[in-house]
This record gives sequence, C-alpha cells and structure tokens, in this order.
Amino acid sequence: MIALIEQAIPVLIEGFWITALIGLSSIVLASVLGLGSALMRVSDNRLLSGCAFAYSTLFRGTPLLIQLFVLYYGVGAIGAVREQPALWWLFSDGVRCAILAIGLNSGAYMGEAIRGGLQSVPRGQIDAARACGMGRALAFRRIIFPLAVRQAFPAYSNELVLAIKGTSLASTIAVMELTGYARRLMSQSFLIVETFIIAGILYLAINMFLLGCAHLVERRLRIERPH
Amino acid sequence: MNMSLVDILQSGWIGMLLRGAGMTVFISLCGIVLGTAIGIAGAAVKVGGNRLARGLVGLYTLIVRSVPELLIIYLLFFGTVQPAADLADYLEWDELMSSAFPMLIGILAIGLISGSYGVEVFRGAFKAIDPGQIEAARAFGMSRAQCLRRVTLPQLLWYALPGANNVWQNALKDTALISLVGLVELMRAAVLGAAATREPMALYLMAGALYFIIGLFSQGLFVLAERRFGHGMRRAAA
Repeated sequence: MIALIEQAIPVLIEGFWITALIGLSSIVLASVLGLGSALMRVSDNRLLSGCAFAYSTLFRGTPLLIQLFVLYYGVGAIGAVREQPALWWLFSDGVRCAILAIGLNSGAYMGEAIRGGLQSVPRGQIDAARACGMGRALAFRRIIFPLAVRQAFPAYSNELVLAIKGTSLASTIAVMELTGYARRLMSQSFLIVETFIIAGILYLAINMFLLGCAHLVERRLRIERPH
Repeated sequence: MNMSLVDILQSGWIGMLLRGAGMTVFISLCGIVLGTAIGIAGAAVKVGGNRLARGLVGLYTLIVRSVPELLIIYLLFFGTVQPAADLADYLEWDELMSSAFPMLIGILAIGLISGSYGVEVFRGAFKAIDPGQIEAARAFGMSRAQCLRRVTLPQLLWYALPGANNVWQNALKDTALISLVGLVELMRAAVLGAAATREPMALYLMAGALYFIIGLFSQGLFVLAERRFGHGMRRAAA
C-alpha cells in the first residue's frame, strides 16, 4: 500500500509540471486576449465592440470541452490546416491545442472582468486628464489603465483558478497531465481516494501559489490614502 | 469521404443530439436541485452553525472549488463503480445498472459542484434578510418552521436568483464532463456522431450551438423570474 503510494507520487508530480506549463501559458495568452477584447468592447467602433461581444458570449456560453474538441478534432481535420505547416504545428499537438483552447476560453472571462474595471473609471477622471492636455494614449496609460486594473483585479484573480482547473480537460485529448495520470492510477489501482488526495493537494498548491501572487500584486497596487 | 450538411441532417444524428440535449437538461436540473439543497444547508450552517460544522463546510467548499471538476467526477466514478457493479450483480439489476449508474454519478457530481458555489450564494442571501423580520414573525407567534416557510425562504430564493443563474449556467456546461464516464448526453452524442460521420467540426459546432441555446433560454427564464417575483423587493447588495 505505502509502496504503491510511493510509486504514484512521482507519476503525479510529472503530470503536475505539464499542468503547470499548460496553465501558466494559457493564463498569459488569456490575459492578452482578455485585455484586447475588453479594449475592443469599450471602443466606439461598432464593428470592434461587436466582434468582442460575440467572442465573449460564444466562449462563455459553451462548454470548454466542446471548444477543445472543435479546435483539436474539428480544425485539425480540415485539409487546408494540415497543409499549412504553421497551423499544423499548432493544431497537431495536444499541449499547444489545449493552451490555445483554455487561453481563448479564459480570455473571454478575463475580458469581462477587465471590461468591468475599464467601465468603472469615473468619466470625470478621463475628462480631467484630457483637459490637462493628455492625449488619448497618455490618458489611458496614466489614468484609465491604472484605475481599471485595481478595480478588475479581484475578478481577474478568480479566473486564474478557473483556468488551472480547465487544464484538466487536456487529458481528454491525450495529453498526460495531472488529471490524466490521476485517471490512469484510479482505473488501474485501488488507490482511488489516495490518488485524489495527492492530485488534489497538487492542484491546491498551484492555486494557492497563484492566489498568493495575486494577493501580493493587489497589495502593491493599493493606493495609500492619507488619513 | 466528405458529407455535406444535408447528409448529416438526414443521417439521424440531429435527433441523437436533441435526445442528448434532453439528457443534458435533465441531469443539470436534477443536479441543480441537489446543489440548491446542499447550498441552502451549507449556508445555514455557515450562518448559524457551530465552529466544527462551519469548518467542515469551509473544507468542502475549498476542496470542491479548487480541484478540477473532472477529477471530482473521476473520484465519484472510480470510487463507486466496483461496489455498484457488485451490488447490481447481487440484485441481478445489471441492465438498470449500466444505464442508471452514469446518470447517478452525473447528478451527484453536478450537485456537489454546484452546491459548493451555492453555499456562498445562499450565505449572501441569508445575510440580506433583515433579522427584524424574523424577530417580528416570531413575535407574531409563528413557529420556527412557519417562519422559515413564510418569511425566510421566499426572500432567500429571491435574493439568491442572480447568483443562482451563474451557478446554473456553470452546472449546465459542467454536464459535458459527465460524457467522459459514459453518460450519453449532448457531448457524448456529438462524440459518437463525429466518429460515425467523420465530420467532427459539424457535430461539435451543432452541439455547441445547442448548449448555447439552452443557456440563452434559461437565462431568459431567470430574467422573467426576477421580474415576476421581484414585486416589492429590493436587490441584494452585491
């Protein structure tokens, strides 16, 4: 029994690193997509905001598993994609496909969080910045963005945990990550609860680490107000 | 072998997807009922329970919310599949077992997952109810049960509606994961259809569209419910 657990731990830790790789890569991708789509959502250009709305609604309205299967089995089966080396490089590999799918999915949710932050910036602040002679870009960089980030950060950090949880679906497209190895151990041995506990602790560790980092960032972002 | 959309429409997989969608809705509904019960009970413990009970509820929500849904489904499935098979063997219910077991796992999983989010939703709703109303009800001579039924529960459900909508939408999407332990619902029907027609793109897009439509439709129902039951109520503060 103890010997079996000792064998299971290194296997799960091997999966843990793949989970961390997919999770962190997709979080980076999702943050870029989220910021981009939030900026498009609040823009005055109807076409841009419409596209961002469609992206956000479609990716939040369907299960991640469907999105993953559409990208991996659907797009990967299109002839034109197979002939394009760059596209085939992306869609032929489970890990890259999982990063893309989770990044796209999580980006839609992060976009909503960031949009909330952008819209919470008081109109007067923007007017004041413009009245001081700041250009649009400068006002965005110095006034709007710093205020929006503070407002959006708690909702954004919730999405980090959801993105990590989403990485477990990579096991369904034959990527052996933490949940993939856990499933194999559960189906092949009698260590079902033990496997769950070890894998659960590993997931908890990533999530606690990310939330800890988020907490530090949030503290740094806090504005010290004079009493 | 490329099939046109017409071939797919005629091949009967649309009907299969729609039946799958029916199963998805059924599992989501049963799961959310269980989840609501867990959520209300958990919230009641968090508001008025003793330290040990509060700690246990906190542990449950922490674990279920930070571990992937899929891992929880695998735990429930692999943890019970052998004992359930033995029981079915003993009772000679093998056929019932093969069809009902994935359903039970699905309902249990969706219930446990949505319940863990429901605890926070209902805790917020409990706190939104003015304690003066409960004192007044008790002063009128209502028993605890009467007070719960006439004063607390109706307001609780109202205050919880916006949060419950979120939990429901997630529960609906989480049912797709039950396909991985063999339940033939919408996702599984799409996987089977994709294998049979060799048109994965078309089948998965249609399944995605069905999930989207179900979500949109239920969103509309929540908006209606908020309007219908909202008379004379104020909104819960975040």
